[in-house]
Amino acid sequence: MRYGALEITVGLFIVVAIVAFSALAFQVSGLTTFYERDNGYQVSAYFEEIGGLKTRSRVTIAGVQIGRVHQIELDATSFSAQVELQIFSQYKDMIPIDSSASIVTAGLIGDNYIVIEPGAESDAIQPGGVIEETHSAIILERLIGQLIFNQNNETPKQ
Amino acid sequence: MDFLGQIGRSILQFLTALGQASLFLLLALLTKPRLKSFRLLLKQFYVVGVLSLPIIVFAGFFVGMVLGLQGYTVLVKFGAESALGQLIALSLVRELGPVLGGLLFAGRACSALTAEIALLKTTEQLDSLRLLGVDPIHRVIAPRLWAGFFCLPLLVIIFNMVAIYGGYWVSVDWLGIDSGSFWASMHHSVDFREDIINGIIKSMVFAIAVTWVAVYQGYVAVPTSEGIGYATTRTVVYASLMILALDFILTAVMFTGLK
Repeated sequence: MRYGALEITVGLFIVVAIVAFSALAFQVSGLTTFYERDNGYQVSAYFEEIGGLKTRSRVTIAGVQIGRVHQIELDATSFSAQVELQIFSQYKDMIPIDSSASIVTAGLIGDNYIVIEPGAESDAIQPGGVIEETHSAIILERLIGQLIFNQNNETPKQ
Repeated sequence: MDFLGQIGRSILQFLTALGQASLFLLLALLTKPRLKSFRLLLKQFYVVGVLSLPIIVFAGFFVGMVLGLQGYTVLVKFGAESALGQLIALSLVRELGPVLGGLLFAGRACSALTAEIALLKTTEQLDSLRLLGVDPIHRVIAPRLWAGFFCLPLLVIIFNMVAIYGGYWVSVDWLGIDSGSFWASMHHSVDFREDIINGIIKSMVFAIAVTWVAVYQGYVAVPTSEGIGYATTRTVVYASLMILALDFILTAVMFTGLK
């Protein structure tokens, strides 16, 4: 069966729209949950202060992304933030058990993300394990407040 | 007394028109589709959708490029030019894509719909269809409505993608932003469900509103050559104002809770 030029152009229009939609989904929003669900494993860490950390924030070692923040919850007994990190499966058995995690900021006003400092042990953190040593986010306002407070304390002595 | 009467009359007239328009929409949408009506729909897809494509692509490319240039001059002051991808993608997907796409659609396709239907009415072709035993609402109105409903979201999706690539071209090839950080900042901030799907829902709402206005204004136009002109003007004005007002409401509902 032959199709008219009208049908072909309308078909082309719809195909272009579908291609643009999948480009929006995958390239722009980075929709990867379809195949990432079983990819990777989870490790948790407890922070006293997470600042502006959000789910989907990066987890890096030496600046290379090795995973992302999967879930953030308040731990009811210690009142600290329990952060679940999803580590990509290609980095399995690579993170030493005595590694430390810290929350840092990209630039002055950038996003918060997690940096993992590898430790020296040869044993690796297993899926579901906990990163024991953590450094909380640095809150800029609090730092400035401390600075002003210290200066005010110093002035009467002079 | 005159003053009160005037208010009352205009409100009643408005409500009557709204009721008429709603009944008209219901009648047009509740028609039973037949195999023959598929060909009519296809024709309208071509007229409403495909022929609007050039203006959508052209406008999208330039809007994206302007966003890239303008965003860069602001962000570079804070040393945050790597967030340009995020700025371009979020503003396009959430606001500019549906709104500008809708406004262009109202100007390009809806005005043509109104003029066409009003001319069919003026030359008594709608009446002759009725004499032939063909319901003009089924044959003329319904395919145009459905085509409008489906084409605007598709056009908005294409607009968004073309505009993002326009912004990419300006920021990466011209202003020298790293291509990786352009896409990465987009991935981190644009959420599929919250941003992209909500933007498409927005464009669907706009599509229903503007096509409805266009088709109704054409159908109730005064059957004179002046009447066609008035009806077309009213379509473009009402459709544009509805898009802007609906956009405010939808943004307030969808995006106020997000960061």
